[in-house]
Amino acid sequence: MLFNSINFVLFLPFVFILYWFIAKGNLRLQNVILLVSSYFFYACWDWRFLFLLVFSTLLDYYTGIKMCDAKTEKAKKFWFWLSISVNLGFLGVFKYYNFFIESFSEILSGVGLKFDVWTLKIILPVGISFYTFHGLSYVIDIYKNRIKAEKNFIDYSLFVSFFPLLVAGPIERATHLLPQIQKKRTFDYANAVDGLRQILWGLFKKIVIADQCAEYANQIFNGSEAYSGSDHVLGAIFFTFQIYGDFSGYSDIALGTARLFGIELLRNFAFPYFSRDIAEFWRRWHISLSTWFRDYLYIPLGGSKGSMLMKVRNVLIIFIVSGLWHGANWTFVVWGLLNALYIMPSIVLNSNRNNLEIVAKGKYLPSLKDVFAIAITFGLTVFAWIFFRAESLSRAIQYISQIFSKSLFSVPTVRPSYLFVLLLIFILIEWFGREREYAIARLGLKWNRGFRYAMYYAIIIAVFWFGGKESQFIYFQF
Amino acid sequence: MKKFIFKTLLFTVPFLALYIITSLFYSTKETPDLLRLGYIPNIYQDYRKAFDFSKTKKYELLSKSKHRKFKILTIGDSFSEQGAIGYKNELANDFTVLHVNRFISNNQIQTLMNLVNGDFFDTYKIKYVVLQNVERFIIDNSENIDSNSKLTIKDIDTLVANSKPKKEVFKYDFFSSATLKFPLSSTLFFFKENYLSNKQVYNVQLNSKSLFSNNSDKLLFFYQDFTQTNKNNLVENSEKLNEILNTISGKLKQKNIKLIVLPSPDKYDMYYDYIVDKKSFTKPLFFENFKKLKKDYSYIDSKKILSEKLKTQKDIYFFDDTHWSPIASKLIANEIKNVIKKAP
Repeated sequence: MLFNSINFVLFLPFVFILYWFIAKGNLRLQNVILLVSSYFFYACWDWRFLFLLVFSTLLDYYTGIKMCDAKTEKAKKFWFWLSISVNLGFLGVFKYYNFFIESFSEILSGVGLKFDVWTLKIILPVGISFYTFHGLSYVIDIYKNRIKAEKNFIDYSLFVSFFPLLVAGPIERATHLLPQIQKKRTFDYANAVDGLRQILWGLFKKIVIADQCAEYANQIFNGSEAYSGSDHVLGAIFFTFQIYGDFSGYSDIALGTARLFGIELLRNFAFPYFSRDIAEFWRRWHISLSTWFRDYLYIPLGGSKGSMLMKVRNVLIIFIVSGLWHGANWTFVVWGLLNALYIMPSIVLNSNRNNLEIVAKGKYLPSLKDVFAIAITFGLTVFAWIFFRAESLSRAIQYISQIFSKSLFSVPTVRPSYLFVLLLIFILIEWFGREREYAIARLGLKWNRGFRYAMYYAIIIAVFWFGGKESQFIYFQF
Repeated sequence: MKKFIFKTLLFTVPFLALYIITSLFYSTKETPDLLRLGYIPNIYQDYRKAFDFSKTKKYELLSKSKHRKFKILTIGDSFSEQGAIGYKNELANDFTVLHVNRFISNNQIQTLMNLVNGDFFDTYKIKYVVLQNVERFIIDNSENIDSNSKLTIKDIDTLVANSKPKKEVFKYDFFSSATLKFPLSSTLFFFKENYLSNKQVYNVQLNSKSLFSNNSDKLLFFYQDFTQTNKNNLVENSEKLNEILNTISGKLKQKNIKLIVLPSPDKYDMYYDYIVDKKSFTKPLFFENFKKLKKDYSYIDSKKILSEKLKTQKDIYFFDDTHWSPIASKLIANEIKNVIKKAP
C-alpha cells in the first residue's frame, strides 16, 4: 500500500476513526488498533513476509526478556548473540546471499579457480532492513543495560512495525518510541493539523519533485549514448533531486501520519542540500540511519577516539557498511567509499563539527562563503549519487566518462523548462523554511485564512496535476 | 476534533468527489483509446458488446516464430496490431501469416527496406508482404529512408533477446491529473461542439446518426489525423513515398515476393464528408493524390472500399477508438485475398 495511492487515502482515515472514536483514549485498544492496522498494511505488500516480520518481532521480544532475566553474563551473551546472528542471518540471506556468492566466485575465477555458483531466486521482503535495525537497536540497548526488556508484546510489536515507518523508516529507537507507545495519548488539534501539513509537503516532494525528476533522470541514465556531457550532468542533478524528494517526501508523510495518532517519530532529513561540508550533509541526510550507525557501530569501534589510523579505519567501515546497507551491489560500496573519502579530510583535521547550525541562521541570504561551500558540497554529492543510481560500476564509470567529454559545455538537449521552474520554487520554499522541521511548517501561518487556504489548495492541485507518473518509492528496495 | 475533521474534509472532499466521478466514467483500458486520451466519458458502456473479441489468434509473431515458410508477411502499426480482430488474423483463416512485431519495426517502411537488404528473405520463405501504414504517419515514415541499411536475422535475434515484453498499463491513479482534468473535459462533452478535448482528441458534430451503432452523431478522432493533413496533402510527398515503395517492390520482386501496400485511412479522413462544420477542417487529399500514381506493387485502396461500405454499414471504425473495427478488418482482408487470388 503506497502512501501515494487511493488505498492509503482510504486506509488512513479508517484507522484514524477507529483509533480516536472507537478506542476513545483506551491506550491498550489504541495500540491493538495500530498493530492490527500495521500488520494489515504490511500484508498488503506481501502477506507471506508477515510471518517473517512476526518471527523477527517474537525473536527479539523473547531474547530481550531472556537477556534481562539472565543470571550470568554468559547466558546474557548467548541470548544476545543468538538474536544478532538470526537477525543478521535473515538480512544476509534475503539481501546479500547472491551478491556475496557471485563476488566470491568472481574472485576465485580471477585467480583461475572455477567455482559453481549457487544463486537463489530471492524476493527481498519489503522493509527488512528497517525493521531488522529496529530489533537490533533494541537488543543492543538491552545488552548494554540502557533499557529494560519490554514485557508487553503488543507494545513491543507496535514499536517494530508501526505502519508509517515500517517499510522505509525512519529507523526508530526503543528509547524514543516505546515510551510514547506506553503513554496515554489524547488528540491534539495543532499537532494533527501540523501532521496533515507535513503529509501534504511530503506528497509534494514525492509527486511533484521526485517523480518529475525521475522521468528525465531515467531517460538520461537509460539512454546513455544518445546524450551529451551536459545532459549527463543534468541527469545526475535530476537524480539528486529525485532521491531527495522521494525519500524525504516519504519520511515527511511517515512523520505526519504518526502525528495524527499522537506519536512523534525521529526526524530523518534536515535540508541536507544546504550543507556546507560532507560531515554536515551526513548529519542532515537519512539522520535515523546515520545516527544508528554512529551509536551502534562507530562508537563501539572506538569512534573518533584512539589513533588517527583507528579513526580512518572506523570512518571507512561505517561508510562501506552504510553503502552495503542500501543494497547488494558494488555501486553502493563505492558510493559509501566515496563519501568516506569526502569526509576523511575533516576527520583528519578535526573539522567535522564546524557547521552544526543550519546555514545563515536568522538571515534571508547566505554569505558568499556559504554559497561556495554549499555549491562544492552539492557538487560532490551529485557526483557520488551517480554510483548510487547506476546499475553497475562499469555503467557508472561510463556515465562519468560521458560527462567529461567534449560535449560537457554544449547546450543540453533535455531542457524541461517547467521542471526548472518547479525546482527553483521548491529550492526557494525549502530555503526559507530551512529553520523548521519541514519547509512549510510555518509557511503562511500569519497570512489571512483565505491566502493560506489558497496556498494549500495550490499545493494539492499541483500534487494531482503532476501525479500519475512514477509511484514506487526508491527506498522500498532497501 | 470536529474542527479538525471539518477542515480536513474541506481540503479532501472536492478531490474525492472528482475521483469518484473519474472512477465511474473514465475508461482506462487500452482501447477505447480516444476516450482515454481525450478524457471523454464512457457513456456508451454497452457499445463494445456488439463486437466479437473472442476469436483465436492464428497468425505467428516473428519474435516467436517456429516456422520459416509463410504465405504472407505483415508489417505495420497499431492497425496491424489488433490481435484476433485484426485483418491479419482474417488472412490467417486462409493463409499462413507471419507478423513483424512492433518493437522490431518502429518505422515499417524503413524496416521493410532493411529486411529486403538483409538476409531475412533468404531465411524466411515469403510469397507476399503486406505493408500497412496509417495515413497520418505514412509521409513521415517515408522521409529520410536509408535505401542501403540492413537488418539481418542476427540483428533480429538480438532485438528479440533484448526485448522486454512491456505491457503498457493503462491505470488511473488517485493522485493524477486525470482526477482534475477528466471531470472538466467530460463536462465539455455534453455542452460543447467541435472542440479539441484534452489537446488530444477532436469531438466534432456529424450530419448523421447512422454511422455508429450507439447512434451518436459525434465524431471523435485523434488530433494528429488533422494536424498531419497539410503535409499529407502535398502531391510531391505522395510521389516521393510512391517512389520508395516502388523501390522496395523492385527489390522484393528480385526475390519473387509480391508487395501489397495498405494505407489505413485516418478516421478523420474516413468520416470527413459527414462533418457538419468543415470550415476549420482541411479536406484530406492523400488517397486522392496517391491513387493516381503509377505503382509497381499491389495497392489496396482501403478508403474507397470502406467509404462505400460506410453508406450501409455502421461501425466501420469504432466510435470510441481511432482504429477500424472488425467489420473493416474483414473487408480489408477480403480485398487482400482477392489480390492474392488474382495474382499470376
